[in-house]
Amino acid sequence: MTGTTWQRLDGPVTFALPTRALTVLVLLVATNIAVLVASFMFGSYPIDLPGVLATLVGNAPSETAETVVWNLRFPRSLAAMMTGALFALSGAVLQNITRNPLADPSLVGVSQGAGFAVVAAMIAFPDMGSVWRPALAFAGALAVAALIQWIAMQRTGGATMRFILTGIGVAAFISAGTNALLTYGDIDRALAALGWLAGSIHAARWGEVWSLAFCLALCAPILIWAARPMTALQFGPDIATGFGVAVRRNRIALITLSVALAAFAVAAVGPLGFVGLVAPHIARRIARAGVGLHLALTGATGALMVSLADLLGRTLFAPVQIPAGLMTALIGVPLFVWLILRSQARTQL
Amino acid sequence: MKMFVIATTLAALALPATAQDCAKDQRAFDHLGGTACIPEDPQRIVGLHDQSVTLTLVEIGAKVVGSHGRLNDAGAPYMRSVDMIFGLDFETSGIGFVGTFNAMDFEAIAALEPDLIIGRKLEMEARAQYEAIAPSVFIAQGGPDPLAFGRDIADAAGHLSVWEAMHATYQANLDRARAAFPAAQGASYAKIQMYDNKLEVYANYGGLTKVLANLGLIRIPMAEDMAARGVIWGEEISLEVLPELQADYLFDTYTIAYGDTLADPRARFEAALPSWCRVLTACAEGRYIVLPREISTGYSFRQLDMLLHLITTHVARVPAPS
Repeated sequence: MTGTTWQRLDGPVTFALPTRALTVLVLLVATNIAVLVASFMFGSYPIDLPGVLATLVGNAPSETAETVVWNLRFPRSLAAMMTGALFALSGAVLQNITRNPLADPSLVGVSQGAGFAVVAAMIAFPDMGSVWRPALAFAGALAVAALIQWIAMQRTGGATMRFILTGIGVAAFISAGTNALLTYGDIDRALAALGWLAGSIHAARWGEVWSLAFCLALCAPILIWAARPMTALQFGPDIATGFGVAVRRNRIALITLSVALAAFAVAAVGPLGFVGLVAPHIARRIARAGVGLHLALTGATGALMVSLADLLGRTLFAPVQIPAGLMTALIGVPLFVWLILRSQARTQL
Repeated sequence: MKMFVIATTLAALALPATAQDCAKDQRAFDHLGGTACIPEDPQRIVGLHDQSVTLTLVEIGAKVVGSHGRLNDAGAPYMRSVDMIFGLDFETSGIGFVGTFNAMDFEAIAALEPDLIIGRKLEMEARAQYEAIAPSVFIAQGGPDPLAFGRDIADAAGHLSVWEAMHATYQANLDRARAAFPAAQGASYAKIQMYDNKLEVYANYGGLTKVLANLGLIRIPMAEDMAARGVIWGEEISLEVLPELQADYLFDTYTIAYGDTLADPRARFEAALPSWCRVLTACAEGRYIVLPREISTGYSFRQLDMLLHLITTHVARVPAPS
């Protein structure tokens, strides 16, 4: 970790500041803001920067410009950022608890559980309002997480690897169930569900923005609290116990937190794979930091990944819209590989 | 008194829009999303589905400025059925491409500055976005009368009289066909298809099912059972039950857009089950009829009229045994 040490009173007051990580965090936040501004400017309806600024302060050049900025681009861009942050944070927490760098909400079945619950409801009860989706997604994700936890804890020892393997198995089982629903369900309902499964950031409205903001506001203090047990748990359960951390209780609490983060994001825009896996690694490779700061870096990285993916997805081939899930993979995979190769060149993984 | 005022106000807010609530040159229109104020004579309409909504709008002469479309293998957008039935494409028709299913470009729609957006129930998922751009109506599909969908679209577009005139023409043609082929009444038929060695039987196949029913033909018991179970299109069935598909007429389809030829549907059956034509008497006796899928699925009057002529011609050529 690159840092600066501040000493006062000839030593008794000493601060170690991770300057590189903080600088990177500031840069990530600034880049997120730049992407947000670009999201307001670019799209099928042309608006220049002065037009965007005039619209934001209430002097829109036209009624259409006002609709495009306030009703379409603004909520969509904010939703992309916040879901990106939620997925990334969920992945970071899961990777920390399981001490497995491949842990990800969609790898261990959490996203699939949320997706299955929503798709089942969309096919069985097509008239059910979308307001129920967050609750359903959360219930589905939580049920799957509880099932995986229960199976993984049937025997002592090696619980982490068992959690991952059980998760992969349960994820495959649930995906098969979702596919069966899509195959044998009414074709029109299945089509609607398929659209939601592909990631529906484009349909995000202010309602989704407020619910995502509420979730982030709710989870932020919990994440701050979580940094301490996560720091201990990254050394393994035995050492964490030595640090005085109640391992079992904290593991359950952190898994619930991870599930909640992913479930809220899935409920808002559908399952977006890959962000939860890649964002924590990218954050770790661009700046080494303690658990708390790493979570902040991961959140900012996830937000940037999804907002950039959404911006490119809706502008590159407009009016053809590329789903954000596909774009995150297209951007994230090469970036991830490049970072790994660069790290390998310097040192062993 | 205070409670009465509050209750009255709440009741007024809860009421759907009426003609009095709508601005000048607008009218209240009931649709799946409630009641909306729409222009009496829309001049800039966006259709949210090509082969159902846009096709109908084009047929009745409504002013369409944008439509949903699809991408062909080369990545170029097109409007399914609209291109083949009316010869219109995005380049030459003046209709703007606004995205594909479940991935509509709302900004492209806004840029067209529509005064009316028309979609189906499936498009209601993004209802808020459409309503932010222009008055939007969502029309129910799949009711007992499949033509009601087109009628409601025409009504929203302010072209109901045109639609009714076309409907009357279709009915007259139908009456003439029925009078010309009384033997078709009560004849049985099966709509079948072999694809990837899988046999599919259809309870419903859009306009084809409607025209056949209008002519008095009846589905085989297996298809009737599917319809009774609420199957919307059809089901894959085992090749072992092929004998149960005995009917006076067999209908199959080929897809021009996929490069199919008239011979391909039969060739697919031959490849999967070489003896199929001997098993099914209708095929052995020349009553296996192959029609273009693009014409068979839609409910535009042009498609229905084409189907009417195609079916009567084929049926008249090889009548079923009485």
